[in-house]
Amino acid sequence: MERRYFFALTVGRPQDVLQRIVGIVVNSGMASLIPLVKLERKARREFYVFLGVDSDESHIPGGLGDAFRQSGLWFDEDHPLEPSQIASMVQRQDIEIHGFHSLQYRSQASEDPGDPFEQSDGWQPRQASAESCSRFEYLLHWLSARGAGTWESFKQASEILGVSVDRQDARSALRRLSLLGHIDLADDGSRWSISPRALVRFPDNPSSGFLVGQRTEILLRQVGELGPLTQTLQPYYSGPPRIELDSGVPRDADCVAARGVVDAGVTSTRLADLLPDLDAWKDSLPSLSHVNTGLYDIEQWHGGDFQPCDTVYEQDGVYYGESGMYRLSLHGTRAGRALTLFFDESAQRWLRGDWYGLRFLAMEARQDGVEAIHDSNAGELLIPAARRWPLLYERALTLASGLLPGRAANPDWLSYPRIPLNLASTLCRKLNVDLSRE
Amino acid sequence: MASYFQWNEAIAEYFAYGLTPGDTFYLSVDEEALIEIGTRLSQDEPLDAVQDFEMAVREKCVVGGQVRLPQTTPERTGEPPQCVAFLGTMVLAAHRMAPDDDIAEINYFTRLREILDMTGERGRPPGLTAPGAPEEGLWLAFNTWILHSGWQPSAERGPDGPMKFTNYPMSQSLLRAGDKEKLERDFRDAESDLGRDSDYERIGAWFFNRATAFSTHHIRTLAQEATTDRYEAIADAVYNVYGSIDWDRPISNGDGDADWRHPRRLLAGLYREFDPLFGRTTYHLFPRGQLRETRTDLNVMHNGKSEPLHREQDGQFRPLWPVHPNGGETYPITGDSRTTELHFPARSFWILTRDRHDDASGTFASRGAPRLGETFLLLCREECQEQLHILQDEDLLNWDDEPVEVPDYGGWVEYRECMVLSASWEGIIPQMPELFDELRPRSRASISLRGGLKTGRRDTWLEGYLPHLLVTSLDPTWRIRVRDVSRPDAEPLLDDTVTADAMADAMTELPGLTTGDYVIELAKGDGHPMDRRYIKVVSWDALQSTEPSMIFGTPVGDYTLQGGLLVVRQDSAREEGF
Repeated sequence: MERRYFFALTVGRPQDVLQRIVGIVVNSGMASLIPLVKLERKARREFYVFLGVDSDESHIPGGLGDAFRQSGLWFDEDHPLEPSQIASMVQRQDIEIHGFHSLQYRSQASEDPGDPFEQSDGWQPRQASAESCSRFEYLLHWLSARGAGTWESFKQASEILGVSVDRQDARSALRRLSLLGHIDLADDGSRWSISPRALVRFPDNPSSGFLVGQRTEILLRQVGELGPLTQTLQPYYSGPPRIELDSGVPRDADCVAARGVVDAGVTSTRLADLLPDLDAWKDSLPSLSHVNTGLYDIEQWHGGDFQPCDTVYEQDGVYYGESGMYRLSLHGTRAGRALTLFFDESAQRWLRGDWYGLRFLAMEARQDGVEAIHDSNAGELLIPAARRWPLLYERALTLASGLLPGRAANPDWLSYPRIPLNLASTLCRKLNVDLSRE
Repeated sequence: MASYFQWNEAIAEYFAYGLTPGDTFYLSVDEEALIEIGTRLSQDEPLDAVQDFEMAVREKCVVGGQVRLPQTTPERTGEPPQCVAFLGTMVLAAHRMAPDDDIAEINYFTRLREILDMTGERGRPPGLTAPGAPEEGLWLAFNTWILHSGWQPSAERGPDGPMKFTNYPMSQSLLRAGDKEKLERDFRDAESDLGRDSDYERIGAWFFNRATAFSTHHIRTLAQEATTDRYEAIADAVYNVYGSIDWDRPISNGDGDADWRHPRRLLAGLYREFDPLFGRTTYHLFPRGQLRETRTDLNVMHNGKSEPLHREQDGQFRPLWPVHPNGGETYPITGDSRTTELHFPARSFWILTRDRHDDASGTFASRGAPRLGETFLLLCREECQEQLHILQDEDLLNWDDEPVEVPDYGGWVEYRECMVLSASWEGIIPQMPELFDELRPRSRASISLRGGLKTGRRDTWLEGYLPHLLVTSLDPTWRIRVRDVSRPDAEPLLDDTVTADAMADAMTELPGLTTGDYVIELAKGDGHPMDRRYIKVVSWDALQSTEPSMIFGTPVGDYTLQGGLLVVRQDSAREEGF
């Protein structure tokens, strides 16, 4: 039973003709034998109509030939066509198909969630409330239950839980959870994994600390057996609350470990001591084996924004141009994502890393002075928001308090609480940051 | 002789082995399974396992010429319910129905009476004659144990009628005694078409597309009337027969020589990785997880190195090294005496689907045939394009935009967001039969669950964040019901009959389900079942944490920073995906 087509040459508006055919076929119950109709799309006065038939009968089944004739459609039942013969009469692109037993085609491709590290689009935090912290806590519980996943799944979950409304929000949430020690990211940010459960101690009061990493209600109940837990909301409700173990209750590493929580010690101080200086950190960044600059539209970060740039190029295997942060977008409609890189001209390398880290390298390359202020009375470190540190170094700051930075009295500055002077000094020295005291 | 309780525990353990949370549990007891279980029960002395099992069940469950049903509770805490072995007996009876037996209840109970040595009369044996089928309580308790263990049950009542309760054991016995030998004959007869190393998809498509051509009633029924949720289990069982054929030996004569449960090779498909930053695509070797019975860790040899085969939490294997989609490679496997190689078949096309357990992941891989209404990615050689365009011209298949050449694999293209549109494939003469058969839809309706917030376990959603229910159907009328699994006699929580003006898909809100286990059933307008999905709802305060399947961290000196923890570095401390 090979499909055949009966054709007719007719006049009128194609949509009207189609509706007549649909009405006849559907009302007759013959749709299983007449699965589809094809019309010549760019019809002028006269146009072809093709009736597809899956039947061994030599004529249109159900005796519908008469019904069609009465409606003004004269199908040639003496010369049925094979499907391939239609192409000789009408170009494929000029055919419109209507199926009687067809699903409506619907792509399920989701929007590309974009580069998870991208921070150049001027995102600003939205109005938030204490409920936002709760939503972040739920997100953390969900991440803990999933264990690991993709950036896409993170974005989707954060939107469902109301933590974020778009990709910019989601990127920011991803970064903040990483800063707080709850998740770790792949080099390109495309995947995340939940961090191990740990108790991180305060550098200014090592007898107490706060929880990082995986957590659920069940885990919190277990840890709560050690003593009261204190919740502190994040500045601007911008993350899950810090959960601190009451310093009044003595505990030791074994006691903590019995609840599945590792005693991490004073991570911020240890991390600061271990971190390399800026040049060594730059050398540790993953680099691309080759960038064919001819394939990309290139922009350079300058003056707080990306500007078109045509001064960076490759010739005979050598890259020319100024060291700095660049955004590369593939030419063409299937360009994929834009790629943000740091170009190190002297080392002839293109480096990948977190967005603020690459910007920091760009400022260093331009010898823009970077400064910080330590407020000894408040125990805070102040850093210009436009000079935000690379993620890894900023994490050393946030792991000192378990809190994200807030805004200082001057809103152009970020304020990191509970930073001892020695910690600040160590990190500033490694990043070539001028530290002054207040 | 092993006791009833020993058999009870051994059977439960055998069929549960290797199941991951969310997997479907089949109590598919047959002679081969009993022989294997018997081998484990009696390591020192030979055991006629089947006879031993039957005697143990009779001794426990037949008293004074009547069936005495075992308890539904476990003998000790943590053990399976005491009824598993008896239910296994019921499944064995279904398995022993001849391939051409119709499904009349009387034929079933004839087989059961034979096992219980209660022949002489016909119909339900004494002890099972009380109204309402007293054995159903055992099945319900069994299903409850399965759900509490984190799996999904597969045993269920049938539609109203004489087979309503015998459907429970029938649903567990996919291939009956004699079916396997008949299938082997069919495969040998089709060797010129299928060859000796066709893969899982090819065999599955061949089986379901020639449903009416099988000579035995039971196999025909299996191929024609399977609901969407059972396709994979049936395809597994059929492929096991094909993969176990020893082509150099005469056909098995049912004397137990054939090792149906252990195909000698593990199959691999493709796992697609797309780098959106460079627009670059790579394909990785992706072992297929058909084998649940493997008891040891497997390793695969590649370029002189032994690579472990890791299985993720959801049961899928972790992808391996990059490969060319041409395929046609075989790699030795170590760790199991019966499964000796990983075979990556030569193909001219690959149908890659999303991960149904994490549809936000954006990855495509060889994960079986797409469900109706589900879009997929078709990777194929350029010579397939003519067949595809014919299917598009006949409103059978469509895709998004133009096909994309894959630069690193000359001659291969990707058709993205493909979707089968119609079931009217009979009238089309295939130009490439293999491609045609695998694209052809197997079902006329399916249930999809979209959105919501899933936990790390399969088909488990968080309370308050339930998915939407999407029905895709090629028939204009269907019925959708949602039931609480623990209360099969209660009113459905949702019972809708929908008539669509056009073939469409329809999104339905699930009722506000609280924590528990539910089943969603889709049937045609005439009541014929089409698909079934189980869904578990958990509360936030019962959410279990999961060990990550991949661990990221940042190397810092001699340590790796993971969250707030500095971990001493090992040589391979950093794992990135796979």
